[in-house]
Amino acid sequence: MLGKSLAILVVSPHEASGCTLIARLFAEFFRLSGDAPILFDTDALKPKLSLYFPEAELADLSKTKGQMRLFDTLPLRAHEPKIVDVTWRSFQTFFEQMRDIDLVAEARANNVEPVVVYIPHYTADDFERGYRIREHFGCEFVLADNAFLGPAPQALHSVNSYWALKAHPVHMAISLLDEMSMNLLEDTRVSMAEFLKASAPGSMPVTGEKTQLPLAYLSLDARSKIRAWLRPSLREVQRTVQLIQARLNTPISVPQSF
Amino acid sequence: MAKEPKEASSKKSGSGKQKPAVIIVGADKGGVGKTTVARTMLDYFAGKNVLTRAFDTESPRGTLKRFHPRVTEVVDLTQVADQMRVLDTLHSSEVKVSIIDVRAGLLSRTLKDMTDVGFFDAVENGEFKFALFHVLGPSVASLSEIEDMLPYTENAEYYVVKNHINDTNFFEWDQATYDKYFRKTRRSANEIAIPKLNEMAYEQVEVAGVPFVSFGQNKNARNQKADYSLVLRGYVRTWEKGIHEQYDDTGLMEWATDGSQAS
Repeated sequence: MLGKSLAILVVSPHEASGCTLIARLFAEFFRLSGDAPILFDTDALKPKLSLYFPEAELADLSKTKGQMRLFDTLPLRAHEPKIVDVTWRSFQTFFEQMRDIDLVAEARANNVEPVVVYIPHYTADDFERGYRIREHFGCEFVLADNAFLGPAPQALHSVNSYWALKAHPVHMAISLLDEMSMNLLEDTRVSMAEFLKASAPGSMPVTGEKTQLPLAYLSLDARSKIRAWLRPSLREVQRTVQLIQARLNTPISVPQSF
Repeated sequence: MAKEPKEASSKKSGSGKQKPAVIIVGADKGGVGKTTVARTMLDYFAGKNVLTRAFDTESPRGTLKRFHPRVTEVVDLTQVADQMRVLDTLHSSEVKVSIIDVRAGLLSRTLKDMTDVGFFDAVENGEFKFALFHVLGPSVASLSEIEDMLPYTENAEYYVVKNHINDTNFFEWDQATYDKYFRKTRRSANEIAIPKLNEMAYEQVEVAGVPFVSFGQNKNARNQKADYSLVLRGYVRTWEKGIHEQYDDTGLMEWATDGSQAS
C-alpha cells in the first residue's frame, strides 16, 4: 500500500460489544486483500484477538514494556496496516496513553493515520464518550453500529452527542447473525478468510480433505447462512477502508469481490 | 553548530531593569533529587524564553552540567574565587536569573557563607531577589531542616519541594510538625510536589544525558532528531508539564522576571 498507512484502533468501552469481532473482520479483510496486517491484542487478562491470530502481539498496557511494544510500533511507517483490538479492559489506559504521548501527531509525522473505530452501546454516556474522543484526537473516526447490540432507544434522541455522531460521515454497520452461527464463528480455530475461500461455490473439498476445512462439519445450509453474513460484513469493512483512504487522499486498496 | 533549545538562544529578558534573581535549590539531606528539580526549572525558564544561568556546586563532577552544559558552570561555593564568580556577576550579567544547585549536605553551609559575604543584606536592600527551593526527603529529619532555613527566607520566596520521583510517599510526613515551623514565624511557603516519573523513562533520560525537555522533543545532545521511545517521551513530557504548571501556579515566572513576562 502506498501513501498513508492506517493504524486501525478498534475500541469499545464495554464488554460484549463485538470489539474483537470487528478487529477480526478488519484483519481478515486485509489478509484477503493480500496484505499482512500487523496485529495487536491489548487484553492481557483475557486475550482474544491473539487466539485467532497467533502472530498478533499481546501488549499489556499496565506495563511500561507493553505500552512501548504497542505505542512505539503504531506510529512507525510501514506498508502494512496495523490493527489494534482495544477491549473494554484496556479502553481507558489506551486513550490516556494515546493522549499523553500525542500518538496522532507522531503517527502523522510518519505518514500513518490512526483510525478510531468506535463501538458504542446505545447509552448517552457512550455517545458522549465517543464524541469527546473524536473531538479531542481529531484523527479519522468511524462509528460502528453493531446490530448485535439492539436498536437505539428513544431516550437517546434527546442526547446531542448521539446526533453529532449519527451525523458523522464515516459509519460502518455490522448486521445480525443468529446466535448459533456466531458461536460457531467465534471458534478460535476458524479463520474467516479460509472459511470464505473454502465455502465459495466451486471450491468444494475433494474427498478426504473435508475435515481440514473450517466448519466443514456443518450442513450446506448452515455454511451458507454464515457465508451470507460474512461476505457483506467484509464488504462493509472494505467500503469503510476505502472511504477512509479517499478522505485521506491516499491510494485505495484493490477492490475484492467477496 | 547546534544549539541547546532556547536556553542559549533567547534574548528576550536579558536586558532592562530587571532585578537579578538568585534561586538556590538545595537540601541538607542527600539523594532527595535536588538536581532533578534544578533541571526542571532550567527547562521551565527556557520554555518561557527567559535567559538563565546555572551553577552546579557538585564539584568536580557536575551532574547538572552534564544535562545543561551550555548554561551551567561547575563552582565550589566554599571558595572565595567561585563565590565572586557567582555573586559579583549578578549585576553585570546579561542573564538575570541564576540557579544554584547546591551539593548535598552543603545547603546550611552555603547559606551561611552567603550571609558572610553580605548577600542577604543585599537582598534586604532590594538589590537582588532570592528564592530558596528546599527539597525535602520523606523523613522527619528532613522536616526539621525547615527551621534552619527560615531565617534565610525573611526577604525571600521559600519553596518547600516534596520530591516523589523515587516513589517515596512521605511516610513520615507530619503535617502538624510541618505547620509548627511556619506558625512560629507566621510565614508560609510555596509548596511544590514533584510527582513520580516512570522509572524506565527516568533511566532513559539519564542515559541520553539531555534535558528533560529535549528528551520529550526527541532531540539528542546535539539538538538532532533522536530515536527515543514515544511512550517514554510521553511520560517525561506529561511529568514535566505537571511540574511546570505548579511553577506557574506559584507565580515563579512573574517573580523571576518582575512580571515583565507573562507566563
